[in-house]
Amino acid sequence: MPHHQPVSPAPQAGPFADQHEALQGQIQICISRLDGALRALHTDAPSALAAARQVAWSGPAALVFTGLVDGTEFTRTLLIDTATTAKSHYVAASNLLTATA
Amino acid sequence: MTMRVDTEGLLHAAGRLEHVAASLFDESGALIGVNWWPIETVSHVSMIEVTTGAASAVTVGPGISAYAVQLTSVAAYLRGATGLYVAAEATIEVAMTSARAMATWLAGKVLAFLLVTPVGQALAVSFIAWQVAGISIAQGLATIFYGMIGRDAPNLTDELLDSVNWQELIRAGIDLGGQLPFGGLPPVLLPFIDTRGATGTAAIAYLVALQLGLLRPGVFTVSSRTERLVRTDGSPLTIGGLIDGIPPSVDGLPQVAVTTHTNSAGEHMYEIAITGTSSQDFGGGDQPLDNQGNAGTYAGFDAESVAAVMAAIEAAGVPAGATIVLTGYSQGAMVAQAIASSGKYNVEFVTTIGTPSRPDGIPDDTTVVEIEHPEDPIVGLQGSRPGHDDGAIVVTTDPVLDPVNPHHDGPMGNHSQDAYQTSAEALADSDDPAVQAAQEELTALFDGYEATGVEYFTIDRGDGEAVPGTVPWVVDGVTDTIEADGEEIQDAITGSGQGIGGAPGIGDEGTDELADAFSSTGQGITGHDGTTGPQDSSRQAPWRS
Repeated sequence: MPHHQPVSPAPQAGPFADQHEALQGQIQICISRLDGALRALHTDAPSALAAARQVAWSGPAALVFTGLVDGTEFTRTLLIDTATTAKSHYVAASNLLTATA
Repeated sequence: MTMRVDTEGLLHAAGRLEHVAASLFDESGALIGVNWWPIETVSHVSMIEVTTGAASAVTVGPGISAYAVQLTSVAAYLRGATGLYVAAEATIEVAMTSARAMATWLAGKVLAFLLVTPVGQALAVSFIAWQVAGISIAQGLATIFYGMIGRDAPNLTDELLDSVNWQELIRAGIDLGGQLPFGGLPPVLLPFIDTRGATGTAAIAYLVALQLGLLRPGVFTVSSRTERLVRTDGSPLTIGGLIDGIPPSVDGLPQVAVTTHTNSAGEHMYEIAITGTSSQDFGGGDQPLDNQGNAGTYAGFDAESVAAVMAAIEAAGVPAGATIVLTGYSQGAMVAQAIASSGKYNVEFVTTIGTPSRPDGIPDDTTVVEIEHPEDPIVGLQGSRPGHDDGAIVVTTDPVLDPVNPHHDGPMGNHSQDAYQTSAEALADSDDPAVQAAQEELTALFDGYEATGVEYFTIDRGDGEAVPGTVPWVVDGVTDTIEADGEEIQDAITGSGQGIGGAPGIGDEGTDELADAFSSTGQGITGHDGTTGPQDSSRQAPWRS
């Protein structure tokens, strides 16, 4: 009489499996784009701005230029922070999708 | 002026910023196209995270776009600045080139002015003084300006006076006067410089002034007053005593004192004392020992104070070949040296105080004693005298200056006549062997002689004939040049209408106006009739009574 090994049943895809997969794909695209943005924000713009700061400006031009460079660097810092925060949320969402798949 | 800006580095930075901005624009476009909030998240527990992330992410794309715009603006600023710097550098280069050309042109004109005019020469010396004192030309000129309007430039004058040994400075300036480039002067004038250095320069200035009609060459009349001289104490004549016999340098008082000494055999010896500059006029008045006399004599011309004093000596009846002792102060010292070198008289002894000239041409057997204060600016006009190898006994002694005496104030206080008289009187106690030997020689010279009378001469510019002078530096240099090249010199100065060094304005049209502006309209004052006659007096001069 042959022995029958018990066989685990194959996992059953839930009714929202396709939605999970689609959502995970969308989230990965968002994460990828944010990574790209962060890479762009970390390129050599800072060194170029540092070079620009070496110019000895005087008069009203100094005020305008200093404000412009300071504003640019603030924007960059803010964008990095924003993109990093957004990415962290998308990573968290991706983890939730994986956990609930 | 130069600008040192790394424009290449700036352009490189701008290029990098523009490249980054271009990448960011691309990235921004990609971000804006992203679906940050997929609809599928509605039915999932991740919705809160996705929604929160989307709220941030949706701003990143436009933010990066704005950031790229900012970078582009910075790059544009850098490119604009680079352009400005390049333009500025070009402008400065053009300006510097123009300035150099202007400076070259101007330098020739300024040099001519500084060298051939008394005012210019005074300014040149001042410029050097200011340089030594660490005073800018602007500050120095401010001092002159304030002086012209009767105000003191605060602190500057004191700083100048305290910082400069004017005698040393002027000596250096005089030495330099013969070495400056003279490219702008007509070649015919160069022998003046070659022969006499600074006095040659003065000769040119004098000639120019004559040609412009600014100076009135002296012709002189002489008046005199004779006084009976009785030596009261019987003491031998000293160097200090000789100096004390120099009339004061005051306009209106006699300029020359001739004391006759007689021995038992009836032989005469003459003590001739000549005062210094007695008027600050420049030929405008009747005083021959004014600044025109100063400049002309220093420049080597015999038609000024030398001729005037020679006229007085002739009027005193001092015969050619007579034994004389000469004493002089400042301009009078210069005149005494000239007369001593003339050979017209048997000059045994010359004593000077504050002389602006060197004893050139005086016979070797004539004893020359020069008393100088170490910071007397006028003495600096001698230039340097390394080793004093001209045979003179140069006595350098610090003056005794009275702080409340206005004549002793400032650098010219070192040149005051009474301070020199005090210094000369102190030589009686000198332990300098040369001074003691000179004093002994003087005592021996007058041994057996007694002063029998003194005659004071007042000399005025007039309309008489000039007495040919014997200024040694005329003989050595200037006169020869004038005689040889006189017409050419005159043509060089006035004939072409181009003036000295081609400078416009010193020439035809300007001459008359300048002459009218500066010269006296009159022809001078003819001399007083001599009022002579014995008067009782002691050895003491009348102005000391």
